[in-house]
Amino acid sequence: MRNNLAKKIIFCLSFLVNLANAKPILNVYIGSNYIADDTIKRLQQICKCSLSQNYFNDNEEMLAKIVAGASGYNVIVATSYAVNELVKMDKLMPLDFNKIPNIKSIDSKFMNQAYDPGNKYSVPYAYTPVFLAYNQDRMKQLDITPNSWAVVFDPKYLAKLKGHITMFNSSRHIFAAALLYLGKDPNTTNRSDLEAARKLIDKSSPYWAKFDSDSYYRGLLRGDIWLAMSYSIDIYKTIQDAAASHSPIKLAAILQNEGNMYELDNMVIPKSSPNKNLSYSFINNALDPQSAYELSKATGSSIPNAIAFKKLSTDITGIDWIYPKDMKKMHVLEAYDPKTRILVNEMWTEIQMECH
Amino acid sequence: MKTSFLSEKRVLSIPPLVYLICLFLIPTIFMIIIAFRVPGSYGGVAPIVEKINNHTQINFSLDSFKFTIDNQFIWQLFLRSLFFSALTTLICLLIGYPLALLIARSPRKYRDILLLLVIIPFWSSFLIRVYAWMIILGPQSGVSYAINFVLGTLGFAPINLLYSSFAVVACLVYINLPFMVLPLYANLEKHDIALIEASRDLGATKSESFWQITMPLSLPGILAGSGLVFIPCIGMFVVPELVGNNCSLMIGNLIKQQFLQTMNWPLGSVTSIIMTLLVLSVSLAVGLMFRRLGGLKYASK
Repeated sequence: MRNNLAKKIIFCLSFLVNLANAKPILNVYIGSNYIADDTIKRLQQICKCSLSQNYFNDNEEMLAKIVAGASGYNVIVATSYAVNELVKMDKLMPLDFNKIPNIKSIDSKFMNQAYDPGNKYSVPYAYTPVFLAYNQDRMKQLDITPNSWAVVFDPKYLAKLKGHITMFNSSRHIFAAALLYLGKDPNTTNRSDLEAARKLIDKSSPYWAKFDSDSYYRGLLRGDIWLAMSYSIDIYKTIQDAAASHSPIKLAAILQNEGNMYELDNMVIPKSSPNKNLSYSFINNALDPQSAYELSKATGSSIPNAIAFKKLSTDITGIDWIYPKDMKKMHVLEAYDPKTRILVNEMWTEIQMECH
Repeated sequence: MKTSFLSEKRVLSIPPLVYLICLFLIPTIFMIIIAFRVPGSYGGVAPIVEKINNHTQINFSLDSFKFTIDNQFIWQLFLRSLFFSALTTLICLLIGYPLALLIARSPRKYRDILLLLVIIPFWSSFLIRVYAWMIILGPQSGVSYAINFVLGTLGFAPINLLYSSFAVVACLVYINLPFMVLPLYANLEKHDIALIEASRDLGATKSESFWQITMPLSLPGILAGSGLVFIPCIGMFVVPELVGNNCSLMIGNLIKQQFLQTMNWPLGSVTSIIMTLLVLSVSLAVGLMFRRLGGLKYASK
C-alpha cells in the first residue's frame, strides 16, 4: 500500500520535471513591439537560438522585478535612468565593445550620456519621444493648439478639456513635463522646484481623466480622450490602426515648445545572464543597420543608427515627433539620487492615490 | 488497528499543507518582517545592518506604519475598498438571488443549460470582459448616448460613465455575479418543495412562505456567496485601474504601486498586512454567522 502510494507520487513528480529544450533560448526583457518581425527571424537563424521576449510596461516595473530577484535574462532593454539604477544596484556587466562591432554605426550624439559615461554598461538601441497626441477635430472646435505643456497645466485650457486628458502613469514623465512648463530643468533635484512642480500637478490633476501609460491610445481611438501624453511608437501605430479601421477620428501629435522628454533605450547585459556570448550576438545583430532600419520602418521607433537613418524614407524621418529636428530641446531623464527618488516617490504616491 | 505515520489521510494532507506553508505562511512572515524594515536606496529594502562612517546602524523602523497612520488618503483607500466591496456584494445579492431561485425552480431539464449560461462568461479572459465594458460605458456607446439624452432633456449636464466609481462598481458586480449565483443555486436547489406546499396549505401567502421558509433556509448560501464576492473584491486593483478615475482607486492599487512603481516595499507590506487582517476579520465574522445561522435552522423547523 505504502509502496503503491510512493509510486503514485513519483509518477506525479515526473510530470513536473521539465525536459530540456534542444535549442538554446535567448531571453530578452523588453517593451512590447520593440523588435521587427523580420529581425527576429534573421536573429534566430544567426544565433541558432529561439528568441523569447519578456515584456514590461514601463521601466519601473522592470526595475521592480529585477530588485525582487528576477534573473535569467540575456539582455535587458532599459531606458536612460533605469540603466543608471541597474548599475547602482550592481546588476550589470561592463560591455566589451570588441564583441559589438556594429556600435560604430551609432550616431555619436546618442553616446556618452550622463547616465552612463563612456557607455561602459549600455549601448543605445532606439529612442521614443514623449509628447501630446490629440484629436484634431476636438482641438479645432475648441481652438486649441497643443504646442505647449500649458494645455495640460493651465486652468484656462483645462476647464475646456476636463475629463478628456490622460497623462502617463509615471512620476518621472509627469514631473518632467511640469518642470518644463515651469521653465525648470526636468532633471532637477532641487527640492523647492520639485515642490513647485508637485503643486502644479495637484492643481491640474483633477482635470485629467486618469493616469495611463499602457492603454491611453485606446481612449484616443475611441474618442473619449482628446489629449494624451503619448509615446511616439504608440501614436505611430494608433494612427495606422485608425486609418486601417476607417475610423472617423483623426489623430495628430505635436512636440511642445518648452521641450520634451525622450526615452533613450539601451541594450544592457545583466550579470546574471546565463550565456554571455548569446547576449553579445543578440546585441550586435540588433544594432545592425538592417535591424535598425526594419525597426523604425515597422514600428515608428526612432533609431540612433546613422547608417540606417539615411536609408529610411522621409515619410518617417520627416515626422518631427519621431525624429525631432531640434535635439537640444529633447531631454533624457537622468537617475535621481536615493534621497530625491524617495522624495519624488512619496509625492507621487500621494498625487496618484489622493482624491481631489 | 494502529494508524501508521504515513496513513493515507496524512499523506493526502501533505500537498495542501506544503502549498499553504510555502505560498501563504512563509510569504506572510516575510511581509511582516519587511514591514519593519527601511526602504533601500534603489528600491527593495536596505540591509538590516549597515556601516556608515564607522558606526553601525541597524535598519529597523516603524516609519511605514507611521506613514500609513498619518496619511488620511490611505485610510480613504481602505474605506473606499470596503464600501465598494460591500456595495458590490449587496448588488450581486439583489441580482443573484432571484436568478438563482429562478434556475433552482425551473424544470430539471433546463437547469443545466441555465447554469451553463451563468458560467459562460468564464470562458473568456476577465481582462477582455473589462475591456468590453470600457466600450459599453464609453461616451460613444449607445448606453452613454441614451443616458445623456435623457439627462439633457431633463436639463442636466452630460455625465461620463467611463472612468468613474460607477464604472468600477458596475464591472465588479459583473465579474463577481457568478460567484454569488453558484453557491446560492447549490443551496436553493436542495430545498424540499414540500415545505413550501405545506406552508401554503396552512394559509401562508407566497411572500410569507418565501420570507419564513426559503430565505432562512438559504442563509448559508447567502453567506457563502457574499464571502466569495466580498473577499476578492477588497484586493481588486485591475478594475479601478482600467475603468476608474483618481477618486475610485482601491487599496490594491496602492499596494501594486508600492511594489511595482515606487518600490517602497515596507509601505506596501504594511498596507498588505492591514488588508490581510481586514479580509481575515471579515471571513471570521462570516464564518461565525455561518455557524450560528446555518444548519441549526433546518433542525429547529
